[in-house]
Amino acid sequence: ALYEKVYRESKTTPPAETPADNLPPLLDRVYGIDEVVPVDIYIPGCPTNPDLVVAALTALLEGKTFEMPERSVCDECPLAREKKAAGGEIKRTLDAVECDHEAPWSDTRCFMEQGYLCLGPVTLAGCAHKEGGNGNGVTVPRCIKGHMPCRGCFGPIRKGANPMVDMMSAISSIGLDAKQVADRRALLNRYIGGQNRLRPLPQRPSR
Amino acid sequence: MTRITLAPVTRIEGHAKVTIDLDDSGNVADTFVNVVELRGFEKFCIGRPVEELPRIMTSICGVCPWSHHLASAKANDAVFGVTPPSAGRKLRELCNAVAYTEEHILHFFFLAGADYIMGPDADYSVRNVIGIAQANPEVGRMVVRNRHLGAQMLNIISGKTIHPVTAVPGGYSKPLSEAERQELLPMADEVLEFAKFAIAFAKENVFPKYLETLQSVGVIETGFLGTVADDGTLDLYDGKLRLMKPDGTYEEFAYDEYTAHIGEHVEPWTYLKFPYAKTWGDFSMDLEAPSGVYRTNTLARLNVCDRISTPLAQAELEEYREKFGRPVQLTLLYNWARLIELLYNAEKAILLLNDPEITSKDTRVPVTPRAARGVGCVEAPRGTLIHDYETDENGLVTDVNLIVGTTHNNAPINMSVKQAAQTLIKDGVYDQGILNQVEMAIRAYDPCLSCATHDL
Ligand code: SF4
Repeated sequence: ALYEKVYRESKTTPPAETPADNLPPLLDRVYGIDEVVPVDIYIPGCPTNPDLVVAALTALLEGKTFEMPERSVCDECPLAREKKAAGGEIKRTLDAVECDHEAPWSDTRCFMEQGYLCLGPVTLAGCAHKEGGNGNGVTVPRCIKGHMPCRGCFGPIRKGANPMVDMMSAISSIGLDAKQVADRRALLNRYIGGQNRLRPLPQRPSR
Repeated sequence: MTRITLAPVTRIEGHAKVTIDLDDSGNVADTFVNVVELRGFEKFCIGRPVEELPRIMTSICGVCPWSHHLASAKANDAVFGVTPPSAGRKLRELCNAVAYTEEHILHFFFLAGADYIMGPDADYSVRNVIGIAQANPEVGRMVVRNRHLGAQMLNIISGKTIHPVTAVPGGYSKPLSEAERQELLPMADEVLEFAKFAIAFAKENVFPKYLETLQSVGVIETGFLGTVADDGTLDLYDGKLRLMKPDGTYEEFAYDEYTAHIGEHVEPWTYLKFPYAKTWGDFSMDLEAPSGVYRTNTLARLNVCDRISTPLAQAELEEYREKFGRPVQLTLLYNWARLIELLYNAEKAILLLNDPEITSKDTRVPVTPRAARGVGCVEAPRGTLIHDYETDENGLVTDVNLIVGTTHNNAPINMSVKQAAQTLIKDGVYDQGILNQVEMAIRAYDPCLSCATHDL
């Protein structure tokens, strides 16, 4: 299907055969790197945090193991949580979150509680940088710092967790309706295609 | 027949090999740059909410995520039919300028520069950035420091340097505070000083040594594509596309008219397609009589623009044009043009930071989903980047077409490699240095093949 789209159904391309001379063919599915070669140390993040690279290399050099604590992005997030949503529907990022950039971060309500889907609760912590000015030295997850909700680029908190299921319950627990999330399946699984998780569905979901 | 394979090609972004076929007398019969990857963004973005695309498309490339991010945000503006407020646009431009400085430094010193600074025949163990740092510790230190400064600046402006999130449909998500502006200004000044140093250093120590190589390796004759403002000034963020023929005449068109001017040809030996100028007749990569072939990236942009808006870069452009004319065809001069652009972006970042509007809180307008088509385009460091989306009434994506900087250069890269191989390999005689010079012809284009096959 990919070949069809790229070589025969593209706006700018006169239809042609799929190239194959002297080229490796596509694999049957997405593979996680540890399905192909043995992996000693996992450094999460797309991209990761330079501090983690340093920590991991130092651990390697000292012959120690390197593991990430099982914490979530929310655990490192300075925004104010009240354990229930402000009400209303789940919103897409089509307008601005409420956030006064000059005030301390703790004056801003959690984006998820404002109604913008944020994957913080199910995503491994580690992206956050310490702030100098604005946050008086608090750590702020990167996307939150950019006034945008998390999309899960550090992957699930535990190996083998299912962020989609976990996120659905996180959403319900603050009183929002998880079914309102547009394009749920893709959005909640964006960074975990390997290990045979990303494979053709029996039938395309009607979102 | 003998077949030489250079695999993998090093110090480029993405994966490729070069196949050189020699005939019975040991001369070059044919060459192929085989791009061995294909990724599929055009397929798997279908069905996604369009406002998520600026956050997905960045993953096309870890080197130029900003270009994809901004092109995608601009395509979103068009899909939603909105114009970002002035401060939102300027913050995007600021990110673009800073990202450019970081990337041009990366390419000149880490990727291509090693060939010039250390010499193309130097052993491969020192023909890299570590070698540069050992031979010129002071330069090495400055290079690393200035790249780091760029990354830090982006972190302050956007929170996330790589795979950014702040360019949103309708503008920019996070305003810049006065405190942040004050923090950025001295950093921007330092980068400008480095840019001035880099071009002076290269003109004195690097380019003169290789003038002869510059004139012979990878030389081909093509047209050029780039973006200019309404009055013909170089613009890397917004404007109209100008497609110039080898004789210097040109046609101009708006982003959404690109399909009338650009087609993409498929060859059986590479996943990467070959864009060509539709209006110039049938596509051919024949070295004697190429047709429809044009180039993008630094060399092209400095050929198509009439002038540069910042004083130091404009002075450099004048000197460069005096030496080499317009349009410049010498492939290895991409690197010279790259340093002029580095200077331009360093100057531009300071101008934007001194703009009183840059700290305005009015950075974004809300948008409402609708069925529409939107084309967004920016000049990525490696060439004109086109994102073309269509959506349904809920704002979910129904079609995506992407043409990426490096893709435009596919035909020229193949031609330059053939030209370089034909000039350098005679009667079956070749060595490391010669094969590396063939690779240099590729490196000059600073190709990013993972980008180029993104969607393909
Ligand atoms: S904004 Fe996101 S990361 Fe921060 S507390 Fe809320 S859900 Fe967690």
